[in-house]
Amino acid sequence: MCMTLTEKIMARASGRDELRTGDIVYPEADLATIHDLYVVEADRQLTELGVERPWNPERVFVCFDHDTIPQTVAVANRAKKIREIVKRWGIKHFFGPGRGQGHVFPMEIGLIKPGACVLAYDIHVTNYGAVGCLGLALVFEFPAVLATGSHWLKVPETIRIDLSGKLQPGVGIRDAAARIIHEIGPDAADYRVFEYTGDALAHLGVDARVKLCNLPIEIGAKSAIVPADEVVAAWMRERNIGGFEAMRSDPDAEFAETYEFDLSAMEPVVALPPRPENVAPLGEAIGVPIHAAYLGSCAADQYEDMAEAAEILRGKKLAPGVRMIVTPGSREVLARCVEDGLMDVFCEAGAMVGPPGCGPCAIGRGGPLADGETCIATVTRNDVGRMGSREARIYLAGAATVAASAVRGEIADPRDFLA
Amino acid sequence: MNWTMQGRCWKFGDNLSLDDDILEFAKVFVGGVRVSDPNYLKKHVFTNMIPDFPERAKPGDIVVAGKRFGQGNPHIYGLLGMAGLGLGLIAESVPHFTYRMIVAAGLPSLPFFNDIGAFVEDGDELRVNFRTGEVENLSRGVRCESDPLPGALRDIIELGGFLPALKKRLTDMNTKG
Repeated sequence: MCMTLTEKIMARASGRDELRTGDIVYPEADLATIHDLYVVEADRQLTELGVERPWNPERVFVCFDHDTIPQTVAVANRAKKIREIVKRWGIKHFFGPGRGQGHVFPMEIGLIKPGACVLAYDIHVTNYGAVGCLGLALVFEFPAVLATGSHWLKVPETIRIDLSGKLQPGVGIRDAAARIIHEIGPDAADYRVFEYTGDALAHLGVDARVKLCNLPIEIGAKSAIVPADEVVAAWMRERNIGGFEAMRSDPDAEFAETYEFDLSAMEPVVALPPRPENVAPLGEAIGVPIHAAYLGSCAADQYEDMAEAAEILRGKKLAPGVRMIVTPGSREVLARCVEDGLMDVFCEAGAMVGPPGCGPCAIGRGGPLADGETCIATVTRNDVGRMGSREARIYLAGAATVAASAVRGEIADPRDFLA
Repeated sequence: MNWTMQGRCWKFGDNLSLDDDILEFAKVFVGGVRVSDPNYLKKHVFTNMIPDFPERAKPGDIVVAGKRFGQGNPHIYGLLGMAGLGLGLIAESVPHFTYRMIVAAGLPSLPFFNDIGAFVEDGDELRVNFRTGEVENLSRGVRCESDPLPGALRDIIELGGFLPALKKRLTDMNTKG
């Protein structure tokens, strides 16, 4: 036996002892996840197929994270319809608006376990790789999963990424993750799984690992995963979550490529508009005037992200004319921010705190950008129109850089604030 | 279906994005709900690049794109709109997700055609056999070919894309008990 972690998980979910890269398999989802923007469409598609309810309502997860607070009556009517559908389907894991971002809180409440195979409608399911779970998205073809529990998947190759060293002060794990996707690039990433290994992981908690697993999908990776280790075991124990199982690639497993990165050599970076892989040293964007700053989305809405931003914002005010929105990733993150005084920091700085969920990353919901505006944000993507107007520009950065820029009114280096 | 298509070449560059260049994502929502009806979506295909594209494009026309056609968040809607217009697609390359979605949308395609851009110009008349991978440039009197999609995926396109193919799979499953 010499399988990668991804092959092991897909083999188990497909009822096979062994499989190889390139095999076409039908893994059954341990959990199938969808969000509010898709439920009505899914129901219509299932009806067209003559399917009354999902193959196993106990294994379907539905959460309201995109349109948390409806802004129009049409959206409110859709929300009502979603509740009716979820009831009709008999969904066990249904979470209403305000509970959190669907790629973040399920880990915190123990719904996602190491070694699980989660099939999802939405691509950012790869976040679950942070606890050693394999998240695979099928998007438009998701009705197949809802109807049968599975769909065809080609077993992807794995790229191994060895991390060493520790991040310098003022440099966030998001900076490192962005640098990594930039170096590897879309051609090498396409349809491969990023598996992270190395000494550096001993210093990287689940929050940090989420960033490592979130960004690769933007350049076409199939998924990303960190083998669950003692860090994850301790994290689960703290939350009274059982079911920890250490799983890793076999020592002689075959990797398509291996990359090495030294975290101590990482610097703050930004992704220039309009693509997430346009990663450049922060210096190239320093001084660009901004109108809006946003901290949140499944790429940066956990406690560590909030703390990273709060450290910069403490005792400071947003620059005149700059607005800032913060959306914590879950009720748990929000509660901990309140408890630790982070909410005071955001409020005193003049930032607005929105409900846990996707925030304006979901095409500007709850805070779209206007024509001609520039925003610095921790969102997942910076395509034209991603946060509202097609005439707005989005720079992607880590939490500390977003906070520093909000204070300065222009893109700024967080290290200047740490003297 | 007829795997041979003949029509005008609409030539585009590299890195066309799903959510803006091919079809602006905001247009997918009607009353807050995503619409996946190709007859609706076809009215918005490529309009951010060529505002009157849906009126000018005719069934049988061929979109010829460069590298990484359909990059970005894997939203299928632009590809469904292209299928709705009766277009065919040739690209130098596509990301894997777009490859899947081309099949799911039932869009006849040659998604990995090296250097196709050197062979055609915008406005040329093309005849393309998507079953064999053969392309004739009738305006220039030259021909070339690339690998067609695998037969198993052409079968899905033949049935009309993902949903009809899934319907058949479910029927087959039920028939077999």
